[in-house]
Amino acid sequence: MARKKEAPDRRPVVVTIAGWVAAITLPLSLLALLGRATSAVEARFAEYLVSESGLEVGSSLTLNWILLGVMVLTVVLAVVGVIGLLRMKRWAWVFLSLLMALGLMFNLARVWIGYPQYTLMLVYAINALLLNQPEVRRAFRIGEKVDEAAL
Amino acid sequence: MKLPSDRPSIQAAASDLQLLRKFEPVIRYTQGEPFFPASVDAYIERAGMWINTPGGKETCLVPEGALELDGLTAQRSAVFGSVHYLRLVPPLTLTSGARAVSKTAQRHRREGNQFHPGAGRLARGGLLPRLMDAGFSASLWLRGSVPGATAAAAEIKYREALAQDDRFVYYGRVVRAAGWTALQYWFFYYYNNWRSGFHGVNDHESDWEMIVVYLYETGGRLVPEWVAFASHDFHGDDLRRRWDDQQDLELEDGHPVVYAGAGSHASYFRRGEYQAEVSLPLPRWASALIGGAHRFFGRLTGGNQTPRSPFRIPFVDFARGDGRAIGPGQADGWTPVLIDSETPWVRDFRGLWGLFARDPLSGENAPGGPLYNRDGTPRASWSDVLGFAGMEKVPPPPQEPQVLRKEIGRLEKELKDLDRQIVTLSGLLQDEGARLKGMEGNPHLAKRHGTLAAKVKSDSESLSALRRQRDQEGLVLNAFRARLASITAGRQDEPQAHIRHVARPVETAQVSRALETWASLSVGFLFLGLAGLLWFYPQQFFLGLFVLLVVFFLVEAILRRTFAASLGSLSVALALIGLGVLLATFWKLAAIIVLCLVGANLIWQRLRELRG
Repeated sequence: MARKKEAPDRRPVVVTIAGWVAAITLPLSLLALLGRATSAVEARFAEYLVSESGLEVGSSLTLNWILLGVMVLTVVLAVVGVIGLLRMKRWAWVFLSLLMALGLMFNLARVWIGYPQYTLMLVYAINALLLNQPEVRRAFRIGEKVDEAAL
Repeated sequence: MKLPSDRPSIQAAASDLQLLRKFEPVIRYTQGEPFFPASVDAYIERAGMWINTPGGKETCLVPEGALELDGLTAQRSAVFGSVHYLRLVPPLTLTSGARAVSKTAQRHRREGNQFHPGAGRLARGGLLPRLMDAGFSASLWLRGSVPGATAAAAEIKYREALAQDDRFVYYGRVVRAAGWTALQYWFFYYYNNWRSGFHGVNDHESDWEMIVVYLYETGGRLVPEWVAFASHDFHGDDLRRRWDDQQDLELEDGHPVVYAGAGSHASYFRRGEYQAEVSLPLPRWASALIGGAHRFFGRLTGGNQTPRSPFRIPFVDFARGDGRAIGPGQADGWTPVLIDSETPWVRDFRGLWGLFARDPLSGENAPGGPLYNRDGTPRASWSDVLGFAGMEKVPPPPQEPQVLRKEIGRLEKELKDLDRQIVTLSGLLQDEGARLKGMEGNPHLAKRHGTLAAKVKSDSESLSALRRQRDQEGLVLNAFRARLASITAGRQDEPQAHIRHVARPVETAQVSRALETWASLSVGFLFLGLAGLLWFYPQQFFLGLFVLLVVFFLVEAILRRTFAASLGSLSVALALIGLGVLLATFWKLAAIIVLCLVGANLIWQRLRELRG
């Protein structure tokens, strides 16, 4: 019978730490951001996106609502990812890493164009580093395949 | 010493030609190879002689068809900085070049002598090596290269020569030095089409390759012990293999087998595909920085910490051995021609044997002859045939026991002398000790006591030194005796014990068709993407470039099936950049936090100390 491709049940301490840090910080920061989403800064950011990118989204208000929706979705996905991580699911590690990479890219881009979200960037950076601790990577069998790197 | 039963041998009195024929190699080429070892006479007859003078002026000294081998030896004076060179293919027009390319392609198809590279070399590296490769290709426009259709035109000329004279020639040289008889086999090719024919590093008119077989004499017969293949990437000991090295050296009926690289004609011991990497020469600080970053990243994520330049271009030297084979027992045999340092064309022509492409890196310039480097200085492989393969320190097998016995005799004598000196000095010191004791308690003898005490100290040191020397010489003697016993018992060293770096064929890359296609096209797409960014979003160019690179990175990772690991590395890299941004923005706050943490930690430590 084919072996189920999941990580072993025993959870290393570092994974627990990473999981709980993510469990506390990610939803909290995203929820905090959600609270701020209607603030003037976010509104200006939405206006900026509409004017600079030429996105056909109607108005900055519409875009702001879209951004709000993305944030709510991210909160839900982060919670799902954290639960999966604490249950030692490999997909959860990949999923959270993807979330962190996208979040960091988005936040670096915001720094570049002058609308930074430093708190969220710090949270993403800490979580990304925790997820990539050697023990955590080993626990989820990340990088076992020896191959040429993509770079 | 007994004659090894597993090796061919030949009478020591055999002529040079007989020696060369006895151990001449079998060379196996790769399917699609168009050039094979040829006679220099026919090449010279088809080439012209040119000179390039400082300032870049090129003048034809002897037109194509008017040159003979003797003509090479004529002394031609020229100003400093001039380069004499032969030119097989005259400057081609667009039409003649296209005709040559078409003609050779048709012939290859007709004869079924086509090369199939298999897994693309570009798929063997990541994005950065491919960008480097694009830069390398672009550099050929700037740094001077052999024009595009020259390889095809050279092949036509080679075919014409082969139709008139179908011999495959090697130039053999026999050198006797320090108990060794070295048989040097030189191979001359009309052209090196590694770049244009096999996606390699360079093209150049003419090519000289060489191998050496080292023989020693025992019982009036010469026996092969080592074989060395010249290589650009290896030096000294790494070039040679012992005759009984079954792991690396292949023999066919007593003849060493050479696997020639397709187009490059580089010699390999084993059949396969060899990864040749050309690294961008970086300043030391940049290499150190990259190495440090690689190690830091590796430590952070528990990954590979071996520094490897990301600025490397992967090339493959295909030595598959699935094409023509030349040598004893093959469909095509050798025609040997003897040469030595007095052969006029070898000795007197210091110019290049093909086009001087004015490439400052020299890769596209033709080589010098067997005796000379490109700059006219003597080649190490010719002038020091033993030293070039690290053989200067290797005694022939029958001589090694003699050398060891002599050394053992010398050491035994030295040890006896040392023992005698130790006994004498020991006795002397005991006498001095007794005298010293006798003087103690007599204040009026203080001065003499002091002098004697100083002598005792000095003699004691001398005795210690003698004992140390005796111990060390004893250890050397034991090692020599053990080595002699081992040799006498017929035990041999590991055949590859002398090798530090070894060329191993890489495993034939098993990559998906999608990855191969992506690897071939991705850099082109990247450039198109950059053009699109410049056209549509010039204000956000750098942001767009960043996003584009990340997308390419992720596509690459998916195709390589290393998505998870690559994603992890990407998120760490982004996290480090993010932390850098935060540190730059909130450096004061960061400093306050760090100071508070250090202070709190110190207070905690000291409190524990106080309580403890």
